[in-house]
Amino acid sequence: MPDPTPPPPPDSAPRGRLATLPRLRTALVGLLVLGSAALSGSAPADSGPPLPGGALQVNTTSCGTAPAHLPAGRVSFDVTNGSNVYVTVYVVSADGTLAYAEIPWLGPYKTLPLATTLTGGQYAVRCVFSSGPVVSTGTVQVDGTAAGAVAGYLPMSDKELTAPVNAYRAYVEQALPGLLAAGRALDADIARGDLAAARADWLTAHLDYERLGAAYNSFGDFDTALNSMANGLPQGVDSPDWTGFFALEYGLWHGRSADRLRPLSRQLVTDLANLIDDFPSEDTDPGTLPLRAHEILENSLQFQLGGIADYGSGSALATLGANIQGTEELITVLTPLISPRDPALLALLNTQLPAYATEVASYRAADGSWPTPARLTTLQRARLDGDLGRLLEELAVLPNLLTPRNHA
Amino acid sequence: MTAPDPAAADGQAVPAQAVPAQCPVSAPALHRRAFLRRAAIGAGVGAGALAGAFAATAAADSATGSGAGPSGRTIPFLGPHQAGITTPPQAAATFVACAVLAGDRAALADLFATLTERIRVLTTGGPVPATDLASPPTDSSTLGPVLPADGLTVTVGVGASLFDGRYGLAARKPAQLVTMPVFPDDDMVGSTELHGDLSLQICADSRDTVMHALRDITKHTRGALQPSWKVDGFHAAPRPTGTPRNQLGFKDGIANPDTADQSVADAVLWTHGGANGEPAWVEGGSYQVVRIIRMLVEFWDRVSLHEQETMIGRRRDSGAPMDGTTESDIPNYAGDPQGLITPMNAHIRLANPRTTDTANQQILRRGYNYERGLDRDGNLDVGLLFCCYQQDIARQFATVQQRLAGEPLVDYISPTGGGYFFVLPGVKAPGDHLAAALLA
Repeated sequence: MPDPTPPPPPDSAPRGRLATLPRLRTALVGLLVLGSAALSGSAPADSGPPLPGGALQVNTTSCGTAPAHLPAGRVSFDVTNGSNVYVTVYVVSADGTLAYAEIPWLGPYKTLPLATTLTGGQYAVRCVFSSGPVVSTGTVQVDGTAAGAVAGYLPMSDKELTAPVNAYRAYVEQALPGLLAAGRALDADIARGDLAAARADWLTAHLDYERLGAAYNSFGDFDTALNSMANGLPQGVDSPDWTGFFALEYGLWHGRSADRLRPLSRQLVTDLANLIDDFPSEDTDPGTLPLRAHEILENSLQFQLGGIADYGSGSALATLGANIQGTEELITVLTPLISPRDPALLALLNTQLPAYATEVASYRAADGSWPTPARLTTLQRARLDGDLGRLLEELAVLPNLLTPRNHA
Repeated sequence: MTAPDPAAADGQAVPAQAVPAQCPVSAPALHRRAFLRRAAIGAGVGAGALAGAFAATAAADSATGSGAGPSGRTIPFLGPHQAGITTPPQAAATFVACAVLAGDRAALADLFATLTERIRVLTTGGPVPATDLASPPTDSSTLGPVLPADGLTVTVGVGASLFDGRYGLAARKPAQLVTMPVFPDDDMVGSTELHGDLSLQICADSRDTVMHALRDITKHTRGALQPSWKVDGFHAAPRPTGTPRNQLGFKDGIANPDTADQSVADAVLWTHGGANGEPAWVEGGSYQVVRIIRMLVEFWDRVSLHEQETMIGRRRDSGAPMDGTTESDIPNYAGDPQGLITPMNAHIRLANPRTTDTANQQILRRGYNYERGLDRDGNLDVGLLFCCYQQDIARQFATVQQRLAGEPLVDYISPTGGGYFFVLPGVKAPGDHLAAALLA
C-alpha cells in the first residue's frame, strides 16, 4: 500500500556503471516524446498494439509531458521515475477533484505503466513525490466516449481516517468493561461448578468479544490468548497452551470438569483485564479500519458458516450475528468518509447489513438456542451463503475506496 | 507541464492549472462487483460492445501463439439456439447446478441479463476492463490480461423448480420439464448432486478457461445464483481414430443423430413453440438430461473381453458393431432376431433398436468423462458425465432409459446424481437476452 509519508530514499544515487544509464535513457526518450507524444503509445502488458498515452519522464520538478489530446478508450502511460525518491502517480480530473488511476509506488529510476480506460473529458497526470513535491502535467483533453470507462473517485488523505479511528477506539473502550464483566460471570460459574450456567455465560462473553470486530488479530497477542482456534497448535485441541474462548468452549461442551476448566476461565479474566489496561496505549493502524470492514465477515464466511470455529457450542450463527454488528459499527464510524465518495454504496450497506442481521436472527429458536449451519435446509444455507457473498462483494470496495491518496 | 506546487507539499493541494469546469462527470460508480447493484444501474451497458471491439485483437494474439496456448477459436454466442449443444465437444467441461436466490421476477430478469452479458463477454474474449480506484480487480487474471475466447461456450438451462410459485412462472413451464425421477438402477439415496433451479454447462478448449468462466459468473451473480453442485469433465482424444472412448474403454457416442441435417434437428433436438403441448416461448430450446454415472472400473477390468463386448454390443478395439468391421457400420438386428450375434440385452441394441418406431427416440449425446479422486475403499471415482439433448424427455431419454433397465451393464455402473433441465432458446441479437421470451 502506498505510504503517504514514506521513508526517505537512499541519500546517494545508485552507484556504479548502471547508475548513469537510466538518466541517459531518460534524456533520450524525453527528447523523442517532445516530438511524438501524441502519436506514440506504450505497449500494454500483453503483446497487442500500443495504447495511446506514451512515455512520461517524471522528476521532482515535472510530471512529464502528456499529449494534449487523446481518444477516449484505453490509455497507458509508461511512467519513468527519473528522480531518486519514490513517486505516486495518478490520473486525475483536470480540476483535481477526482482520481481515476494510479501507480501506488514507483521506485527511483523505475518504469511502470499507468493504464486505465477514460471517456471524454479533461484530465491530467499528477506526480506526488515522497520528498514532498507535487507536480502535474498540463491538461489532457480526451475526445469521444468510451464503454468501460472507469469512474473517478474523490481521493482521501490519511488524516481523514483519524476521526473514524478515534470513534472506533471509543466504541471498543466503552464495550470492554461489559466484556470483562461477562468474563468474570463465566469464571464465577465455573468456580462454583455450575457448568450449565457457564455454557450460557460463555456465549454472552464470546459474543461480546466477537462484536468488537476483532478480525485478523486486531488486538495482537491478546487476541491470540483470547480467541485463537486449535488448528495451528501442535497437539490441536489437546495442546496445553491453548487458552481463550474456544478452549473454554471445547471443554464446556466436551465434558471437562470444572476443576480442569477453572485455570482457563481465570486466565481469560486476566487476559481481558490486561487488554483493558493495555488498549489505551496500543496504536490502531488507521489503514486497518477499512480493511476490517470486509475482513470480519470474510472470516465469518470461512470460520462460522464453514463450521471450522465450532468447538461444540453450535453458536456459529450467533457469532455471525455479532460479527455483523461489529461490521455495522465500522460502517458507522466510516460513514463520513464513504458518504461523499460512494453514497450509493453506503445506502446499499445500510439496507443490506440490517437485512442480513434479520435473516440470521430468524434462525434463533424461541428458547434462544441456535441451529448449526449444518442443520439448516439446503435452501436456507444457500440463502445465508449467497446473501453474505453479495454483501462481501460490496464491502470489498471499502479498502480501495478508503485508501489514503494524499495530494492525489 | 507545470511547476512544482510548494503549497501542495504541506497538504494544501490546489489544481495545477485553472481550467474551465469541463471535467469528466462523476458518473455513478460502475464497479463490477455485486449483482444487485449493477443490475440497478443497468446491466450490460457497453461491456459487450467493448469486448466485441477487441475480439479481433484477441484472435490475432492467439493465432501467433504456440500450440500450448489457447486455441483462438471463437464460437459464436448469438443464434437461434444456444452454443454448446450441436457444438462438437470441447476438451474440458464443467456442469454446475445452482439455486436461484433472486428475490422477485424483476431480479430474476436482472439475473438473466447479467448471465447474458457475462457469457457474451467471456465467449468473445478481449482485454479485461480497467479497474477503477475503488474496486478490487475486474478479473481474476487466471487467463492473463487479455481473455482468449478459447472455444468457450456457456449453455444455460432451467430446472422444474424455477417454475414453482416464486416467480409466477408456473403457467409457462415447458411441457416436458419435470424433476428427474429415480430410475430402477439408480443410486441416488443421499446424493447431494441432484436437480437445481438453473444449470450451466461450461465447455472450452482448455480447463483453465472453463474455471475462469465459472469464477467470473459466480462473482457477477453473487446473491442471485448460488452453486449447489458441480462436476468437471474431460473429452478424450480419439484413440487412435474416430469416436473417443469412455472409461470402460469403448468408443462412446458413435450413433448420434445427424443434427447438421436441419430436418433431423427439428425432429429430435429442438423444441417448438405450440407443438407437443409446448408454450410459444420454447422455440429453439432443448431438454437437457445430466447424469453422473460412476463406472466401477476396477470391477470392469476384471471382466473378460468377450463379456465386455457382449454387454456393450460393440468390439472394444474398433468400435464396430458385433456384425460389422468399422465403427460406422450399422448393425443389422433384423438379420439377428435371436440375438445370436448381438445379444438382445446388449447396451447398444436396447438403447437404439434401429427400427422405424424408435427413430424419433434418438438423443444427442454430449457427455464427458469425469474423474475425481477415490472412494473410501481406494477405488477410483471415475465415470461418465452423461449429458444428452432432446426435444421430448418422455419420448426420448426416459423411454430409452426404461428399455435399459436391468441390462447386464448396470452391475458395472452407478448413477449417483444429475437432473433434468430445459436449455433456453438462444440469444438472437445484441440487446436480446437469455429467458427474454420466458419473462416477456
